[in-house]
Amino acid sequence: MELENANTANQELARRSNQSRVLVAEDDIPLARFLQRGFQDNEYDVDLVHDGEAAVDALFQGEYDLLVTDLNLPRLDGVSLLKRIRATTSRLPILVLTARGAVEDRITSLDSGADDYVVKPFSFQELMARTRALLRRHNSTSVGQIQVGDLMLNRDEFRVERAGKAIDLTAKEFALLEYLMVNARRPLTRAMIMENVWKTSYDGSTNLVDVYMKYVRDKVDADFSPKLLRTIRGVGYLLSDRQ
Amino acid sequence: MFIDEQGHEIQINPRTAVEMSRELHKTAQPLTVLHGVLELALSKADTVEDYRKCCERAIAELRRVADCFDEVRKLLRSGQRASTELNGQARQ
Repeated sequence: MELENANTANQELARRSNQSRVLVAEDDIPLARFLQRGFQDNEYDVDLVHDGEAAVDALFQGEYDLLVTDLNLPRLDGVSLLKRIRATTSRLPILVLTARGAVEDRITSLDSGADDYVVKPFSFQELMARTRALLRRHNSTSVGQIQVGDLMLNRDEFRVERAGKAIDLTAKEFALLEYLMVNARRPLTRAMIMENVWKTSYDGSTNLVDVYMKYVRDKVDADFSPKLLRTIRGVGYLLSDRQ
Repeated sequence: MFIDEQGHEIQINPRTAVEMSRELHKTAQPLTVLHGVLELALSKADTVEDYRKCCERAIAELRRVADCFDEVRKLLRSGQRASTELNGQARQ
């Protein structure tokens, strides 16, 4: 099996640090390596395969949070791969990379089991945004509980705990913390927070985000160590359990 | 049907057209890397060395695109020659 970067120690480390694991199936080697590097730079743990059969093998052997696959794969083409995967699991989010821009091809991909697609040549930032959105949707539908370090948020029970100690939050503070935790370890701009938590556009004239960040920080971070919430000057905020 | 540099119509057989389409399809891979490398240069490169690496990578991907277009040009010429020969034989 052409599985690269399948170092067991690295995988175990990634699992322990709660890093999302991505399998990239792409037969064009320079593009595959570029994707691997790009995902790694964005703190994903990545395995590469270069054909459809190897992708199936890898998926049966390892636990992945996302499959990113080309449609034109040797040995087992992308559409057949999608059908094989969906025959066994409906839970794995799948993002298709395709150079086929035709509407029929996109429909075929989605009908065969893809959750989303991007048409080559695509913007890498768009690919990252779609990846985050897919993982977010997947997490929100499959898991009622999010954990970052010793901070735990339970959606179903509207409950937050830090180091086992209950924390009382208002509905908006809860929504803000949930958004930060779903996007843990990624810098979030005030505009992103405003759009996703308050469902309104950010015009720079309000300090609502900063005010609520302070409320959340006072409750989640003030009496605990290490500090999880960080201000990134000129960008926005970041919630991370890594120092 | 294609038009050459002199404005003449070129008849291409379906097989050549399929091969040309395949070559053009291949450009999507290096163009994707190129797009990403340039995005990276704009958003993350800090040092001259970072920019130099991005430029080297971009040039390598541009070469791959150029190679694809060279293949398309060769296919077009061979298709054109075959078509001309066939037309000549038909006239005889």
